[in-house]
Amino acid sequence: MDEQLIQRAVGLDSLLFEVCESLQLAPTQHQRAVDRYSAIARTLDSPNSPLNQIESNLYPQGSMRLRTTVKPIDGPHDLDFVCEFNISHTKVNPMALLNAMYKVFEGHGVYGGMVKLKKRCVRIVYKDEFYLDILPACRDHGNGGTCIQVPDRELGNWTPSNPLAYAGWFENATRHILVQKPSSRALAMDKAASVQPIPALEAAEEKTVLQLAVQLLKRWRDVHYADSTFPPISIVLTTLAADIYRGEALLSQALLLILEQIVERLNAAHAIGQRLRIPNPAHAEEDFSERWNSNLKAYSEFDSGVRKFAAEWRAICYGQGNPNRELERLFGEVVNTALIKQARSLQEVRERGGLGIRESGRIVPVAAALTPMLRNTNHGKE
Amino acid sequence: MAAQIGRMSSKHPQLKLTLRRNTATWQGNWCPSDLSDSYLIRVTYTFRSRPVIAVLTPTLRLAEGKFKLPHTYMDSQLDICVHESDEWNSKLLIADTIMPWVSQWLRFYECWEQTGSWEGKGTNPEFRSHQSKPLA
Repeated sequence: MDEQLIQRAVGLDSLLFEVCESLQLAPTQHQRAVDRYSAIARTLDSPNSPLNQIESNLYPQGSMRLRTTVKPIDGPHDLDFVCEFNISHTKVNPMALLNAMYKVFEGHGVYGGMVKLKKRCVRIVYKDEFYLDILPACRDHGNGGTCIQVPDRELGNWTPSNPLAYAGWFENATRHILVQKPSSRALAMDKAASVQPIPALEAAEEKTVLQLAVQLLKRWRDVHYADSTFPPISIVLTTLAADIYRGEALLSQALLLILEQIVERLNAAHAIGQRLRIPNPAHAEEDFSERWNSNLKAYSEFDSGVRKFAAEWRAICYGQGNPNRELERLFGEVVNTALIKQARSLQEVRERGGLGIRESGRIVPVAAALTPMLRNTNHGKE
Repeated sequence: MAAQIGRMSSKHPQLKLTLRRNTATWQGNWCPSDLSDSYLIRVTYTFRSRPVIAVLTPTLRLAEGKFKLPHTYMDSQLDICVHESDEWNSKLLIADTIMPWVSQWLRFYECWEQTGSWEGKGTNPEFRSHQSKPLA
């Protein structure tokens, strides 16, 4: 990449960090999630709970564990937890376990009116901005390690899962390439006994490039497929991104690589008359994309959507000029929030006398400037 | 005037100078950030008057719901307004003062036209006297 393209990528990254920061749980929301998670753990372990006879471990899974949460455009945040009982699934009736967990909350003074029984989990619906899904699970001693089995109401039976192994795989895939030097903005973790802490909330610059790329893919999905019945699910996007990522340090370039490689994989599958398959890296027999078997339209929408995004993203990365409108079209209103935050930061630095310009007119920190920017007052009607 | 011309040509040689009597005009490309459009700007300086800054191309866009460009004389991109009357005088060099101010105006304009929010602060002539007459 020539110097001009690198500079553009760095500029894009700086705006994308702000976008990702605006997308994740706000600090107050994160703290509320931590509080609620701790309260749920206490409820499951209370003397009144029939489930307290078996040792259990409650832990976050999905985007909360991977630190790839994305604020939905409409509707509440969906946060997932596993309640893993230290007992072999062969000794437990799956439907009885799911129903028992449902009853613990249904009969509870606080949660009574807030609980719903879902396909594989019990959902606690809060009046404000999110709901918590709790999957009951038992140890899968047959497969060993961190393998678990979870009840599935449609199957009327157990179904295998391994969220801890998936999270470990994802963490390796990040290659620990941080977008910037970590700072100390993390909130304190929750320390309730027998409850694993939710990963502390981190500012976007304390995250890895891959985590931010996944956040951007998920937000694009939410915007692009806003009117679609079957948008690609988060685990499909997350797995593809993590499988493709090769340690790129620039976020905008990492996203481009991921998109173009997805297109290549779609082409390769098409060439042999198949569809793209996305196996669970923690459990190879499971296909995260199995719903495409019965829904060709969803696959076709994914195919065309990702091709369009890849072409548009290349045009933004390698083009010239102001990409703000294209970025807003791809990621929605959150881009405007990011632009305002960025402009406010610029104004703060300007007021401190920290800006200057280069020969071309480009604004740079005063230390790298040809001409420092003296104080001035933009005048005239707004 | 010689000092103005010398400083501008050494710092921003891409701006082409035209001289006519006691008026100097510089015209050329200006780009305030790596994610900005390239603007064709013109700076016109008549001795002892305030420099007039024009953005010739592209046509600047108005933010949604807005009817004029912020901080401009006559609501026109051909005369953008980057300082109050007491912040500039002809002893100050345009290259050292006006040109960085042009960059910040354009940068805040880019945020404004997309979001409708002007973050570069400034004053409003409806509340303070707005002196656009030639400087003493």
